[in-house]
Amino acid sequence: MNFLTSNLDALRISNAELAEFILQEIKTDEDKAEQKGKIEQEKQKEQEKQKEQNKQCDNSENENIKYTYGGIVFEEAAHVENAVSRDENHILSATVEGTTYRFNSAYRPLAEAMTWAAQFEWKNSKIVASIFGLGNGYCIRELIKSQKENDTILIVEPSPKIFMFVMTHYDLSDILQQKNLYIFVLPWNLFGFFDHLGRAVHWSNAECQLTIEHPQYAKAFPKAKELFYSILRKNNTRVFTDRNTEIYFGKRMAENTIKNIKYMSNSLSLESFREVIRKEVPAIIVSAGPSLDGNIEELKKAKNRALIIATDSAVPALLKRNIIPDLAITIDADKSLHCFEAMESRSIPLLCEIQSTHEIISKHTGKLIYLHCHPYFINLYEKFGEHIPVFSVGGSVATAAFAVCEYLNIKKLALIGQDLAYKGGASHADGEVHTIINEENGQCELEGYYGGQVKSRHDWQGYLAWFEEEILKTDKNMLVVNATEGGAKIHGALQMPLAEFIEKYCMESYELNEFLDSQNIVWTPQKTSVTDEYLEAGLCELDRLQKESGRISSLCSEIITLFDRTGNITEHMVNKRREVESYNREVNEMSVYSLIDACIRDVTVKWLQDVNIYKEDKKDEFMQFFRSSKEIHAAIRDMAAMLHPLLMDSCEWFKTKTD
Amino acid sequence: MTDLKNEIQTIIEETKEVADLFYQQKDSEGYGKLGSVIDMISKSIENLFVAKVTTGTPDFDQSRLLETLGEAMKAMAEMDSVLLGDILQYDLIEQFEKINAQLN
Repeated sequence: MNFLTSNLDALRISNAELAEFILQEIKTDEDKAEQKGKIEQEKQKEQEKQKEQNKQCDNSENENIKYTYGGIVFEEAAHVENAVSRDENHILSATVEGTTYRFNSAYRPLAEAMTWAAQFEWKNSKIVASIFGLGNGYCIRELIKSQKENDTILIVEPSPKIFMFVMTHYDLSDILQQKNLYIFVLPWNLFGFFDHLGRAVHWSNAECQLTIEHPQYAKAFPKAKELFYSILRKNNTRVFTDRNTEIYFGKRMAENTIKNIKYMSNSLSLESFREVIRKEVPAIIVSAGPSLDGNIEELKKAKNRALIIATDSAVPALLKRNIIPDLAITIDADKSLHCFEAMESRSIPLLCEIQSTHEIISKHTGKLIYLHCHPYFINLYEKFGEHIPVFSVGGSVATAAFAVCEYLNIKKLALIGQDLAYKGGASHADGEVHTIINEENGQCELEGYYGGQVKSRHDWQGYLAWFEEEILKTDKNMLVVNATEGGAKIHGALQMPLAEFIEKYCMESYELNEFLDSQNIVWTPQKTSVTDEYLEAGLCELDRLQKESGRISSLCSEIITLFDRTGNITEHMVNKRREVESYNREVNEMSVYSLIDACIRDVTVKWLQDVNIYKEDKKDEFMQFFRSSKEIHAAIRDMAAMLHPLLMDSCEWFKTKTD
Repeated sequence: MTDLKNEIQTIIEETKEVADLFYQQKDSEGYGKLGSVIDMISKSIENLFVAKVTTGTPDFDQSRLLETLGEAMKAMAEMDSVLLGDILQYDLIEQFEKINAQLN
């Protein structure tokens, strides 16, 4: 029986993209079959001819089938088969690189699946289960029985052939329609795995992840397994790096966001930029790694022939050599002002975030182009009826510039100065040394651009992982050239000297300055009025938070004292818990919540990092709610008091504009 | 005879544990425990044979039991841990359960 149609119908609801890939694959197979039919006919004629000449042909199928994705060669199944088990269920098997793997028990596959699934604990909340291998669905079906409403299951199937076979021969509609369950087939839609994982895993549930291998898949597909684990590791690194960045810079980000509000009315949107930039324009991202000294002069040949985007740290080195980039980019909340000290640097059109360093934004005379907005302002732009893109910027200005180029659909991109490694003792161009927190403990070695090993550090290693992952996701859509000519090797990027990139791809001239000058900033009196109302509402929310969070914190303190005295949980305590939970929901809905949340990240991490971990002691779990709420609401009260005068200032400024 | 029954019961329980480990892909743990289970089985086969000869109970097919063990060894050599789990769970345990049912 053929289940493909019914499975496709079920898949369209949960994963239309994957369904589309399958339909394309079917069409390709049909075309190939037609082609094969013609080839077979010709082959037969040839064979008959050879037989006449008494020559023998070897018609055995090539069992070493592979496919390439992102420059990596992966194993693929040559044959896929079904057999019947002793208890008359199905056994899926496949031959990969000459070895046949059986993915189910030959005796009782359903009982085997049940025993296999029983080893995984699903007691924690918001579990994210990443599973390597779909198989024929028997094992997955057992896992789904334990999945709770707020758990997510992500399945990576490394073999398109097995996937198509199973979609045809097995009824998977119950699995495909399962809520919060997503399937990714390498190489078709693996990029979806990066995205879903990024969305599902947060620092508060990072410890609640399950990593699961379907029986035999790791043996059959070792290369794909390596990639699977690499993606998981990199995502975990990103989660904790982002968390630590928020802990360290959260307050500064919130302050910058409020202070930079006034410059919103003087900014361009990246979306409008995307609509007009010509796709064939190549781009060069200039970072400030020590190798920049070696090829920076070549950039002069690329002026008006490529979009030159300079990271903030690279701006001084460029201006020193009279090279004016088309765009500069800054994202850090606490960046050194040295990057924009020179007057001429302040007129370069600037890609930035609303939470970028206020002292830089306030002094900038050139056009501002916001990459994307702080969540506080996404809500505001929705009131304008405008869409602000949201995408991962990777944690550094260079990764942010790369993300911008992806967003702009740039087809050819060169990276220069992207060492991600030390050169001698220097960390940056012109022999400069910039240190970071915990630098001495985060030293590592990476594969070098020219082979061997180069000395690096933990944050650069993280950015390298981000680049490699993004290059894998872009696959054939963007040519990425590493023209750094030094530093660490970026896997997936083509290595080429900058001079060669410019000669090959920067042949046409573009009037980028004219285009940027022609972009008008559209800010209406209505927007000013809406913004003023929005900020006023934010002020009221901060007033409420100062008062009510203070009261809630005291309330929690009383409950804790009561419990410490009696050791019992009473109905009164249960009612108070409901009261606090209801207030928490109100706080989560406030427009200023995202600002406050960033400010108190250190407190929330301390008290909530194991909130989703299952606890045996239910009394302790109950009281932990009050202990954490007490501290968190005290912090909310204090931050609301700190942000109030800043928001008031911005509000006053908008009032003067309205008047 | 009670001692022999307890011995067989222990073999059944331990073998089930080992089979479950193989089904759960915990191969190193499974092979680690399998060694001691095979030792226990070897000793018990001797004891069962003596009991059969002296008392006529239990009635069991020794060559079939040894054949099953042979198949298990073959699965081990082929590193097919799931097949090994199947042989232990469904072939070996089944035979021991029949034997145990005959013992007082």
